[in-house]
Amino acid sequence: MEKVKKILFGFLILIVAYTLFLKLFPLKKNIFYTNDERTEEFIYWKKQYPIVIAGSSLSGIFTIVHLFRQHYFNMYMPYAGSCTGVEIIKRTQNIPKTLFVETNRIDRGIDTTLIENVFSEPFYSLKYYLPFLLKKNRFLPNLVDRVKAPQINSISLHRPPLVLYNQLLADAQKEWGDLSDAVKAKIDRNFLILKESLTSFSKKGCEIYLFEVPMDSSLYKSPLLTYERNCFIKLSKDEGYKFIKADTTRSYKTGDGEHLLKSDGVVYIKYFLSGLDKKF
Amino acid sequence: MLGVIFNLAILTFFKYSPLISSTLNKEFNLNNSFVDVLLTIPLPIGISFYTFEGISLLLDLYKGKTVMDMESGSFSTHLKRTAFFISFFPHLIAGPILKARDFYPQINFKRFKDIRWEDAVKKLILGFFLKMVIADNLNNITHDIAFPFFQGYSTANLVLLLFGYSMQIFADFAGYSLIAIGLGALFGYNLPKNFDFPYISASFSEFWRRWHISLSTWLRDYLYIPLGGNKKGELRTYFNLFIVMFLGGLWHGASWSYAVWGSMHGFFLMMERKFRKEKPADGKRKPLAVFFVFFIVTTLWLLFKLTDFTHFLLYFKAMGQNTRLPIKFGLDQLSILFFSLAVILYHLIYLRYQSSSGLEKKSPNLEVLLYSIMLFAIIVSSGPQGSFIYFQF
Repeated sequence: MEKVKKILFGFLILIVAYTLFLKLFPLKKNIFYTNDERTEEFIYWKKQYPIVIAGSSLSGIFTIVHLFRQHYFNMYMPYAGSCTGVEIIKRTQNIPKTLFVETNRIDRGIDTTLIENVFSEPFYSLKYYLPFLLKKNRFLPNLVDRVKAPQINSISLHRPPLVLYNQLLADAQKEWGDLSDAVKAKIDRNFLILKESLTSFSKKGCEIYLFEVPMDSSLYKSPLLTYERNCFIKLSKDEGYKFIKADTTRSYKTGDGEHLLKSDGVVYIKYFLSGLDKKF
Repeated sequence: MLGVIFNLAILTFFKYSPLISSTLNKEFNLNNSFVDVLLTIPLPIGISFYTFEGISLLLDLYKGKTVMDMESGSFSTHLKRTAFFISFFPHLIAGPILKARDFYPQINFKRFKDIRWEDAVKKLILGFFLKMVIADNLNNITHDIAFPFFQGYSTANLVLLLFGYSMQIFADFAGYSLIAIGLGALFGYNLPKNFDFPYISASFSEFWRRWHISLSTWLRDYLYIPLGGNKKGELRTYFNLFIVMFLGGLWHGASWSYAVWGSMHGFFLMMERKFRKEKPADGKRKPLAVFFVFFIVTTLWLLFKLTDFTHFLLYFKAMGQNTRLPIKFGLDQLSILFFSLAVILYHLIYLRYQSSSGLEKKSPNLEVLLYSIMLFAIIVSSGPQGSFIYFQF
């Protein structure tokens, strides 16, 4: 038992030392590796963001440039989508003045596992005071981020080898081509929840912008994307939200059929900014 | 005999009927509702482990080994003890596989003061460290050893990913076993050691004496020896080795890739027996032998990750073709090296002190420091929560 006490004592010393280090030298970063990290940053950084972007991994492309002069937060959620970002805003009631909502991946709905992990975990409140509990302060990534500027791996400069690209494109075409009744019902349900949240934000003075990120041109008229687009076209007309539709004037290059290559991302961002009716 | 058949029938029905029906479906184009039902049967968690324990109980009793005093105690006492043995929760889902003769004598009244706290806490810390810090962090990265994503990586990156997966599978399974042993100790039960630094093995037979020990001893005691072991001539020994490993492979999962994995291990055990005659590698040859065994074992782990054999072959094709792709060296690659280093250090400490308890005896303060660091790492450096790889078996 004596040794167990010694181990616990050693552990306490290490924890206190690391906490002091994090308090004295907090890690400030703009790029986050995981959805957990990104969500925690939004909750625990205790900042009011005038502009928030809620989207899926497709909106990760906005990290390649500094978009606005005002302070903003890009809450893109790989493997999820804007429904999750909007739900996080709703739960924290940290409602921005302007909210950009990506329309591409409503079918994924709210990532309930992420929401439960972040909001229902026993250390939820403790994280305000004990920074070592935050995901971004995990030892190795924290150490590396201090030495080297973080980079987003998912934004490709070039297409992958043809054999992989063709497979990924075929997978994407298959996924976006599936609009079964079950998928439609799921989209309708997710859309209703999203619409309700956006209406409540709007009533509190939040200005809502909708936008569609372009993907491979073969996906533009895919059943799933068209169905989602139509939902938002109607919403935009009903509620008066501005909808920056996907750029169809050119064919964008992607790494996998969905995610824009960096060079094409720059072109799209110009198009996106030109679609805004005012400067931010 | 009836009892053994009953246990095997349960295992076969739940675990292998989807494989058999899908194979029949593919070969004979049998599209009917019965085949569909067989394909969708859910696999009860831990079934491979507790059916083997049931078989060990029956065979030990049959052979007259001291399992329990059959003369004393009522039917209900025996029923309770047997139910307790089979369902003892710490090891239920992924082992270690208990033998009735080791567990039954421990079933008695337990006192709080008899708990070996130090041993239990150390096992739990090491187990959680291996699982939550090493395996879960590596799992997040080796995720890309999946079709078709691996085709976008350079040869060097593919080798590194495979190396990381080898470390992950060890940390995941050894971690779970240590947690189970630690939990068992908290209840006053000694569960058998399941891993003994397997990656320092200089031969395949040594590897199987160090990896998943409870399974390999089970296969030895209840399959290899009853088949005749090495007592019935050279050819029969090779056959026994091969068939035991083939079935051991299939035990892991209802997929032909597991059968291939087991067969390959069987093949290397046969070759080793034929050409090395159990003579251990020593001196300068030993590091080479350790490297060779590690290389083969690691390569074969790929069959656990890519259970479609075509994808397994494509991985090697990509290794051969992607030599000109740029080598990525970012946080992911650094993480593989960093977390793998912990597993390597774990083995090196054992080698340095020549036993698993050597560190405790020779450098107690260093031991305390290492356990404190591991506990610290569990809190500040755990990876995203992932299920145990062996839960699927």
